[in-house]
Formats: sequence, structure tokens, C-alpha cells
Amino acid sequence: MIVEVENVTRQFGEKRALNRISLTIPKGTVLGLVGENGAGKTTLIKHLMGLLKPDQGTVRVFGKDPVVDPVGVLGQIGYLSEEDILPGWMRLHELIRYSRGFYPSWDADYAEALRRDFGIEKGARIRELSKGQRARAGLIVALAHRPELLLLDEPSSGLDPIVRRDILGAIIRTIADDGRTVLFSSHLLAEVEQVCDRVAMIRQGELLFCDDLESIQRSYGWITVRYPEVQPTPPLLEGAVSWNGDGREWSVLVHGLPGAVEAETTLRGAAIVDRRWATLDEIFVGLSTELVGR
Amino acid sequence: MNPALATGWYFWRRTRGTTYGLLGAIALLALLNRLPSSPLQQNLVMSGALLTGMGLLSLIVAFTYQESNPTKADVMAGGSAFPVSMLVLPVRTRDLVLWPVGYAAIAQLGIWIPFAKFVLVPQGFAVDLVWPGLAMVAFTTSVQASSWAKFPVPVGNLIWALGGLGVVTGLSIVTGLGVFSKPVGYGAFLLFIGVNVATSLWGLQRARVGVDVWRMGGRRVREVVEKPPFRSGFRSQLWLEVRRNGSFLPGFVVLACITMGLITIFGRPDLPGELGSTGIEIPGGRMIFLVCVPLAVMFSSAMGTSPCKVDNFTPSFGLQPFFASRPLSTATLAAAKLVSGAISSLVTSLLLATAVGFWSLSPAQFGGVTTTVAAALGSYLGSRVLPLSLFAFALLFLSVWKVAVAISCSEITGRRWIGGSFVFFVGALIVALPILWLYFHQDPQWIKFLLRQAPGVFGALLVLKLVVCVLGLFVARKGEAAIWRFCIWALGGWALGVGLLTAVLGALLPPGVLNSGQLLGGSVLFIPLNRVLWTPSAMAWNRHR
Repeated sequence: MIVEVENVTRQFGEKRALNRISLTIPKGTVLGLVGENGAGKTTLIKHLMGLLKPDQGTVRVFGKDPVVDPVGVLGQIGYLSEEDILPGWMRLHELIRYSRGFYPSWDADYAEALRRDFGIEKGARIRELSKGQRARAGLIVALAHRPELLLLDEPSSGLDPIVRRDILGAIIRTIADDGRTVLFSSHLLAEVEQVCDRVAMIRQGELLFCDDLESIQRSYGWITVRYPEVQPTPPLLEGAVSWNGDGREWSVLVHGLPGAVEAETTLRGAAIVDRRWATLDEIFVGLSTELVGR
Repeated sequence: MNPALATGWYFWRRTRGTTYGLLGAIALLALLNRLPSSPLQQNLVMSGALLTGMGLLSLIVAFTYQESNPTKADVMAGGSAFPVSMLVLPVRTRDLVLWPVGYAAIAQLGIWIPFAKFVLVPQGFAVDLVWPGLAMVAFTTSVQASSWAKFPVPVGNLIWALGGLGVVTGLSIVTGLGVFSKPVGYGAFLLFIGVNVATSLWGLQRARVGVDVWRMGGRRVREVVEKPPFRSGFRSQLWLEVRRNGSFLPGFVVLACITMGLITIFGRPDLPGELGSTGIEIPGGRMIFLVCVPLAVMFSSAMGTSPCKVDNFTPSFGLQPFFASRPLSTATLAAAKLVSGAISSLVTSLLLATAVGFWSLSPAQFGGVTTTVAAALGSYLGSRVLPLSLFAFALLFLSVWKVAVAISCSEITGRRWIGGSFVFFVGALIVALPILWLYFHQDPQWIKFLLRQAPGVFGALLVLKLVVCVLGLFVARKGEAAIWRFCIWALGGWALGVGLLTAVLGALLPPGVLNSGQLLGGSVLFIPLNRVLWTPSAMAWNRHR
């Protein structure tokens, strides 16, 4: 296992940011980490880098505690964040020279190839670059030492499709190097579906699931029903995670076998209009609004 | 509410706390001034006046109303630091400029005039009630113009700010010397304020409509000279620390030296006008130095041109994720900071030694300092001039480094309350030390008492230092293995330093001045240990939150 998180709890004042999270990431996996804003995704990633210490539980990355052995862990990690964390006063060639000193495995040719691909001038000052170009500069620094584990914390937020394509390309390049692992946190679920083979969802600091993408999608159904009369509220049914709709037509996200829900709705005189597997987007929205829906 | 008035309210709300605090302090000092005159009363008023003066100068920064994050402003590239959210409000540019300028001017004059009238004048300072206030307003409007306006050239902001500083200094000197009449002086300041306001109006309008900076041949990217890669992470980090923070202390000292030079030249008692009288009234004529030093720092910070690369500024004191996620042990990160501090301190010490040399030989000192030092050392100097000078320089360097590390320690922890406590502690010292000095130097009984207690105090400090050291080692043992190794090396280096200092002092001091125990104890106290031992643990506390 590249990452082993066991029973990790972290509290910030009154707020419990992570609540007994347990998660493993096998070598060579691309794990998508999804959840609402403030769900705890960034907090979890910071624990993996040792920037936060758990109140309870253990974190192991490459079998080491990132707090006790930051060199052993961070030396094999490439990190890109949505936050503007690069030092703006540096020029790109200074940033590359500065970063290179930390990594014996730095591949200067690869860094140069990436720079050319991304079309950034060596002498450009970081703060004068556009947001997309800064993200690309961050990608160069995150990838050029060919990390064993790539941590991407919502790297696509607020970026145009071309930069997002570059980021996805970077993930694909990393996977192409045998046995590399990626943890990709994002709100853009289409991208997660595109590149991830496992998905974990966090809500209010708790891990809702962590499984293969296909298994998750086969666990949730999406049914649309139409009632003969207007229904002010959807009926409470076993297996229904969330309802969406108004009046006569309602859509329901169903966990497990949809048969029970179908039978129940039919009994109440409703007709099944549509029935299919839920998309990741529908699962995300359904689970995020689960409490509201009930 | 009128939108323009709302604009003014927004700016007033950001500085009202400081303004009220200063007015409260002035009221308190004015009350103290009415008490029967005594050395304690005078010292309390003077210390309070010093702190209030610093607060008054800090308003210059507050009244620039910059973006809270200077990264966004990019002043050096010709950008405007005016809050972007204000630029899109449905108000005219003149409202955006005139309200904050007017409020700042009224607040500064409203604080200066009672400060001068009820605090400084009763203490015997022959200060004018108007022109120093106008000078402050002129300087503030100049900083406002330089940070709000979008100038046509990339470094236009910096040129304007430096020019403004020069104009205000020059006008203050000629007005203070009484070169021309006061009304003419007032007029000159008002004219300069008008020029600055006009510049702000013109420049903010440009910023509002997004006029780009003029560049010869368009936006050019500087030629890159490839340099060899760093051989280790430590060297990379050291390069960053030196680039980011290294020039701050020397730059600060250069500004302070220039200020000292100006005061030496223009603050002499034999000069005419208020400046001459200030030379008499202010003890030693050098107290202004203490006020000018924070001014220099605030000025550079206000401009966003501080050599410490303020674009990493965030409201959080925490270690930035980019730096925290470098694959370096925390001990190495701390070591890079300490070594960078040493390089900076060395340059600073060289500058200080040069400046003090020039200053002590300058005609303004009438040879007094040089003669006094030569007489004090007398025949003892002889052939030991060179080793003594080198030793004195080493002590100077070590002292500067100790202070620099002590200051950075509060930052390294990443805890705002520690930084705040440190500032409070320094402020308390500024107030308390003159009072203590007054008692100790005027009352022979106190001096005798202190001398009797000296061995006990000395011993207590030694024990305290060693206890804190043991505690530091205990904390280090529980952290990263690299921190423990660092502490062992630091302990070894410290022991070597103590031995070396004891030996050098023994060789240089005349026999019988201090016995070997006193020499060793003094060295143990002087050579820094705990701030070095604790630095990596403090940084680990910040890095792994």
C-alpha cells in the first residue's frame, strides 16, 4: 500500500474536520477524492503530507509517518494545489532551480519538455503569469522529479478547459510510468470519471465510500416516477437516498436494489418513467443533499 | 446612505481602532503631564510619547488602505494596490480618492495637534503645532498616490514614493531650520499634498479603466542566465531564505544610518530654527532615531517593496504549504533560516562598523567619541588594536545575530499570539527600561544593592538557561530524528564557542579584571544556545500542525 490512513480524527476548535477516516490506496491506483467544499478533502491531503497531525489514528505513506520522516515521504510526492502557493517573486527558471535541489531524481529534460509544451518563458515572473500558467508552472515542479505519488488538490478549480486538459494529461503521463499512484481531489466529476479507477467520497469529515468506480456506479440507481396526482413531498421509502422534483414527477437516487422502491412507488399508483444506473454526478449531489432530502 | 459617504465609512472602519487608541493614549499622557513634575512622571510621559509617536507613524501605512494581500497589488510591476472591490462600486473616482485622503488628513492632524500641544510642548519640546502634522499628511498622500495610482512605467510607484520621501524630508528640514517663514512652509506642504491628490485621481482612474503599463517594445521577458543547480536541498533553501529575507536587515540599517547622518548634520544645537532647538531638547539629540527606524520599515512594507518579498504574506503566520511540503527535514529548514540570518547579520555588522567609524570621526562629534574611547582604553590598546577590533566585531556580529534570531523565533512558531506577546514584551521593555535606568543611576543605594545581588542574578540566569536547554532537548527528543541530531551538533558548537570566548577573553582582558569562573559564566550566558536549540522544534510545531 502506498497510503494507509487508519481511524484518523482531526478537530479544529468545535469543528470535526475528519472523523475516524480509514482509507488505503494501493500502488498504481488513481483515486478520485470527492466531496463538498469544507468536507475535509484538503485536510486529508495535508495529513498525507504531514502538514497536519491527526488527533487520533495513524497516517502512513510509503510505510512512513510523514510527520516523523518528512524527507522520506515528501521526496516521493508531487503536490499541486488549487491555492496559489508558488512564490510569486520568483521567475520560472529560479523556481525550477530551487525545486531541483530537493530531488535527486529530478529529470531536467522532462522539466524542459513540460515547459516547452506549456509555453511558459523561463524568465517569466510567477506572479505575472495567468492563473492557468501558474497551475502549469506548479505542474512542472510537481512532475519533474517523477514522483511515486502525485497529490492533486482540486487543481482544476477555476481553470479553462485547455489547462484542465494539461492537468489530466499529467495524470495520464504519471500513470504511464509503471506503478505510480495518483490522488486526485476534484469537484469536476466528469474528470474524475475520466481518469480515476477508484473513488472516495467525504461528507462532513466522514468517509462515505471508497471503492472501484464501476462498483460505485452499479450500487446506485436513478429512477424517475410520475404520480397521477400532485405530491407535495416525496414518500419516505427504504433505499431511497434523495429525492429531486416537484409536483407529479420525482426522481430518486436509490442505493442497493431498486426493486423495492419500484414496487413501493407502483403500489402508490406512480408510473416508472426512467430507470438507469446513476452517474457519479448524481450520486455526488444525491449523497450531498441526503440530509436535506430527508 | 450616500454611496460616497459609505465609501468614507468603509475606510474609517478599517482604522478607527488605532485612531481611538492613539487619542486615548494622548489623553492619558496629557493627564500625566498635569501631575507634579518628577523623574518618574517625565519618564512615563517620554516612554508613552515614544510609543504614541510610533503609533502615529504606523497610521501612514494604515491610511494607504491597500489590499490586504500585497500579492494582488503587484505594485512593483506598476499595478494599483487600491482595494479592487472598491473600484467596482457605483461611485466616482474622485469619491474613492477624496474621502480616504480627507479622512486620513483630518485624523492625522487631529491626533498630531493634541499630541504636540498636550504631550510634547509641556515636556519642553519646541515643536510647531502645524507643519509636522502637514508633513505627515504630505507623506501619507505621497504613499497613497504611489500605491493607488497605476503609473505608466513599471517602477513609477517606487520613483514617486522615493521622490515623495525626499520632498517631505527636504521641506521638513528647511522649514525646521527656519529657512523661510512658516506660512510659506505650510503652503509648500499643502501644494505637495495637492500634487499627490491629483496624482492619485489621475492614477486611480487609469487603474479603474485598466490602462496598461507602458513598456518599450511591449512586455519583455528578461534574458535568462542559466546557473548550475544547487547541490542539496539545504543550499536551495538557503538561497531562498537569503533572497527572501537576507537584504531586509542590512537595508534597514542603511536607512537608519542615513537617518542618523541627517540627524547628525541637521540636529546640532548650533543650527538655527526648531531643528537646532530639538538638538538641545532631545536627550543626546538622537531620540528621533528610534522613531525613524520603524518609519523606514513601515515605509518599505507599505510600498510592497520590502526586500523580504512580502508577496508570501498571508493573514496566517503558518508556514506556507509550498515551503512546508519541500522534502527537507524540519531541522534543515531551520538551519537554512539560521544560516541566512547569520549571513544577513554579518553584512549588517560590516555596515554598522563602517557607519559607526565614520560617525565617530565626523566633525559633528567634535572628536569627542574618539577621544573618549582612546582615553578610556589608554595605553592598554598598544599592539592589541587588531585582535581587539576583530574580537569587538565578532561580538557585534553575534549580538546582531542573536537579536535577529530572537525576532524570527516568534515568526517561526507560526502562532499569532506568540508574535503578539513578543511585540507586547518589547513595548513593555521600551517603557520600563528608562524608568529602571532612572532609579538605578540616580540612587547609589540601588546601585550598591544591585551589585550585591549580581552574583545571585548571574547564577539564576545560568540555571534558567540550562533548565530551558534541558527542556529543549527533551522536546527535540520526541520530534524528528533530524531535530535531535541538530540539537546535538548545536550543543557541541555552543560548547566550542563558550570555550573559545572564555579563552579569548582570558587572553585579551588585563589580569585580575575577572576570574576564570566569571569568564566562563559570562561566556555561557552570552553564547546563544536556547534560541538555536528551540528553533527546529518551534518550526516543527508550525509545520506539522
